[in-house]
Amino acid sequence: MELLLDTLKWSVIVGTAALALTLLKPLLDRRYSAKWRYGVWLVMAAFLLLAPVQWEALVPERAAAVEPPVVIEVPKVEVSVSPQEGVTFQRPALTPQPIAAAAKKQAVLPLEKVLEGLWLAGVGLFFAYHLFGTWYFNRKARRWSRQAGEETLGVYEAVQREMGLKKAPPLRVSSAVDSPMVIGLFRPCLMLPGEGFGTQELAFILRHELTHCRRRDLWYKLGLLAANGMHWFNPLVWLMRREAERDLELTCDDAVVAGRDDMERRAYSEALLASIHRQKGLRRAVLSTHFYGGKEVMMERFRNILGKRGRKWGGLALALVLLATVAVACAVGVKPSTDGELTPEELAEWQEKIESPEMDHYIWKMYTDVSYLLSKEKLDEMFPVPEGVEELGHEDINPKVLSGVKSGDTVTLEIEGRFSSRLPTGTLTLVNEEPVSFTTPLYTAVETAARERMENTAESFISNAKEYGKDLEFTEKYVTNLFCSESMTFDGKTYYIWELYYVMKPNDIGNVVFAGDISVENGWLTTLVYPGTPILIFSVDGDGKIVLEEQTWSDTMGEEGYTWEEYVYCTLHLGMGQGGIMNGWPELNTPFLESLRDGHDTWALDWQDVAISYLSKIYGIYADSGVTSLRTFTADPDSHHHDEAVLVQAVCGDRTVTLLLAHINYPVEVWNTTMTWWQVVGEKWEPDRPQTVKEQNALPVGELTEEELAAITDYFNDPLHNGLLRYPYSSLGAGTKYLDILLYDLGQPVTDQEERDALAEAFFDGEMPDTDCLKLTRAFIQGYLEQNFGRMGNYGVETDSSDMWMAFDTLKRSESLPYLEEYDAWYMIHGDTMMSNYTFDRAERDEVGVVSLYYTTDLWQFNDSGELDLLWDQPMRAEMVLGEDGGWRMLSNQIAG
Amino acid sequence: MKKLGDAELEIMLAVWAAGEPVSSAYVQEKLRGSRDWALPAILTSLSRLVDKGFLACEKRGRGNWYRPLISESDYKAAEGRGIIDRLYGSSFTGMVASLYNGKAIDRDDLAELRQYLDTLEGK
Repeated sequence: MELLLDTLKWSVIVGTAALALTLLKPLLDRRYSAKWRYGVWLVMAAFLLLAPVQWEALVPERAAAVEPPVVIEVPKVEVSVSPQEGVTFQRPALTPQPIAAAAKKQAVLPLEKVLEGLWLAGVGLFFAYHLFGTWYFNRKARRWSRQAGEETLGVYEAVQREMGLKKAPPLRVSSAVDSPMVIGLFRPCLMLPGEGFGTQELAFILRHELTHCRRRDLWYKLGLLAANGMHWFNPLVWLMRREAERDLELTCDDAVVAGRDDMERRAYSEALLASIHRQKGLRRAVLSTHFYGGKEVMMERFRNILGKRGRKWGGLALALVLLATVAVACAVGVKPSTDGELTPEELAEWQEKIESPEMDHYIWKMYTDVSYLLSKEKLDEMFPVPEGVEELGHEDINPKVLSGVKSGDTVTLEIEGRFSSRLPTGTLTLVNEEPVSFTTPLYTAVETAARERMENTAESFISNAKEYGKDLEFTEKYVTNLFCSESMTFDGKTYYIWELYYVMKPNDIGNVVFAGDISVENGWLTTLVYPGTPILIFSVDGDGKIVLEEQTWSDTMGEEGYTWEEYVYCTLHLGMGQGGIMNGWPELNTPFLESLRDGHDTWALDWQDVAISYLSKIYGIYADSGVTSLRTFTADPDSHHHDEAVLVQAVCGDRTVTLLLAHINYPVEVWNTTMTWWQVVGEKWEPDRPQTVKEQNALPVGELTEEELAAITDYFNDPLHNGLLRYPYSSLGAGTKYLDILLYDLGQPVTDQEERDALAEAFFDGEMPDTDCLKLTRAFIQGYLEQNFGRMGNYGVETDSSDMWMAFDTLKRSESLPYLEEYDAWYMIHGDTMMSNYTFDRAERDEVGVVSLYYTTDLWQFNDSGELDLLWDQPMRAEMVLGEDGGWRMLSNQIAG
Repeated sequence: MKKLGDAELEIMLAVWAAGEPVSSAYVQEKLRGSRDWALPAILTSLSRLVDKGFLACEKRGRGNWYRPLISESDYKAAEGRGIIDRLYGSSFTGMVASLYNGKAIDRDDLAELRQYLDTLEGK
């Protein structure tokens, strides 16, 4: 189409110029000889022939006058991961490929195609006609020719000498020509229709023809003919050729009679007329006017030969006419395609162009496969398409041209399309209507990050391999696919989830140390593996600032159970702390589920109740103005463990809390049912998070104060607790350990007289010693252990261990400790208190509240001779936790260091 | 009427141009320069032209003399009846540099031109 348009343009311009020249001819003829027009026609023919050349591009001033290169205003690209801020990647363009499906469509032939076809057909026909005609005529003329007679040849030689020609074409006589003429471009031949001219007449005729020869007039005619052929549709060009051929004869005549006097000029004119006269078979009448160059031409030639001499050559006029033509051409050439903003008409034109199947396909490719860097062959080689699978067609994207700018051959279009990725706009650059690149600032950023991620993975593989002494290299690396799977806009900020696929070819697969996120396919490492595809999450805010928000894996999201919308909105957009859908509050455990099943804890069925309970139980805060819903999310319960989520807000004094609650769907297989309830799965406090109840009650971490240490001293110097530090123990599960603690100064005083008598009867021959008597019942032992070591499970202490009771039972038989069957109690009867002396050095509390107590103990024991021996004098360390009743729960007691 | 080959036509043109019966030696002489044929080759061609009915052969003394049976204009007219000649109007001026366009001038024009030239010269 471009070709036709340019041809048309030049056709009109040159045609008009030819018309003007023809009309002005009578005026110009008075001053100038035909010679300047002879030149004008030649140059015009050249213009017509070179019409499709891009003249505008060749004129230097135009290029200089162009406005500065057009840049569609794009926000600066900021990629937080990349040092290459704002680097513009120009993706290599895909050559639009004709698509099989589109080709089948057989669109209605557009008018321009029809016109172009018609034009080309005309050109072809014109040239075929003339080519064949010339060949046929030349052949016929030569065939019918014979050698000229001696006399004629004699005159011919004389004329050659006179004109100073060293070489001349052969001269022949042919009855197939009706006028003397020169034929043959490459092997010219001078043909006479017959012989028997007068010597002077013949000499003039030959001089005329040899002049044609010398001036290469056949080539001149060919140029005109070719121009006429290309512009066959333009009658003005036909006119131009006719005028040019007339001027060709006039200038030839001029050359023949140059410098000759009137007598000779008359003789030449007479010779011309005589030779026409002599023509055999002169027609009675010209049958049609299609034979141009008759009477009028001859009259003009006579006038020219005999007329005014000394007319100017007209070089200046020639130059002026040419300059004017070129100027007009350039002006017209520029007009429909001025640089700068495209007009609405031009935009409409481009709209039509980008809707063509090829362009549509290209734009679709560029939109969806942002980094479509591989050739089709490469992809086929790496991932051969299984036989019988046909490529899927693409969705209808409906690209719309919003605006465009032209600068020389380059057109930049702002395009908006409808895509699954919901990326609205892109910048398409075309040079000479061929797409060169398609990009958006976001693409640039994403592409940079994607490449970086691939490179980083490659680097870590290489360094891993190095540790194993393997020399790994990647010979090829490609981002095979990069597409936006989802996008969402919150408060004017749009988030894009990009899935990245890449492949890397190792020099030797044996060099790869496999770990984590890569698998092998046909000798290439690919991303298609657990934990899913690499994900890049980008955001673009209202100012066009592009930020790489997070890099993750597709499966990570699946494990945590959030939908992209919940995750992006709550975690990325609001900055909420989340721990995964199944790790919320109330805690998922058997007692809770049972309670729910049995119709208790019904508050968990209402999100408002759950939110209020959460705030009061965890933070001790009562949301007095209630909670309001901000947003609800829906999810697929099969893949997200919940079907619905609600984001709520509550004002609690100076603070505002935002909570995310999910409606959990939890299948319990043993009950053959799915339990549902609401759970708090995320929270965000403003301005800051208050302490939880637990935190509020927690004691300060670090060294305990003097007072606290004094209290601890008192505590362990109390006979009731003195024994707790006496012996080392670490594994509290072993019941025998308790014996040493328990069987010392512990027990309840025996006050019942009957019991005392029974005890005296059994062990002291009816006479009770006058000492303290304490008894240990099972209940007392258990109570004491629970009191000091906490309940079962709390600290790993087994207070109801069968081992322990077995140890006590053994004592019954040994009789080292009195035991009365009827009271089920052990008795301790001794006179002295045997308190240990502890020196407490210091105590420290850690984050979870465990206090480490550092002390020294001196343990004395009576020896066989009744004296006290020092059993040990050791630095010790006890670990304990403060109980709710203010007493200590012991965890361990060990020799320090 | 049979068609003449290029060489045959050239011989016929020589015969027609002579305007009287010619000998084979005459033909050889006329063709010299464009076709330097040996006499036997010319004799073969001449006898073929006799067979085709273009020439009549008379024995005069030691040699044969040839005279045309078909005139130049008749043959030319016959050849010109071809479809191509009709298509191109038996003249083609697109790529020749001719002295004048004979096809475009008729007898009346010629008279007018004569008059016009006289006027110019009479000035």
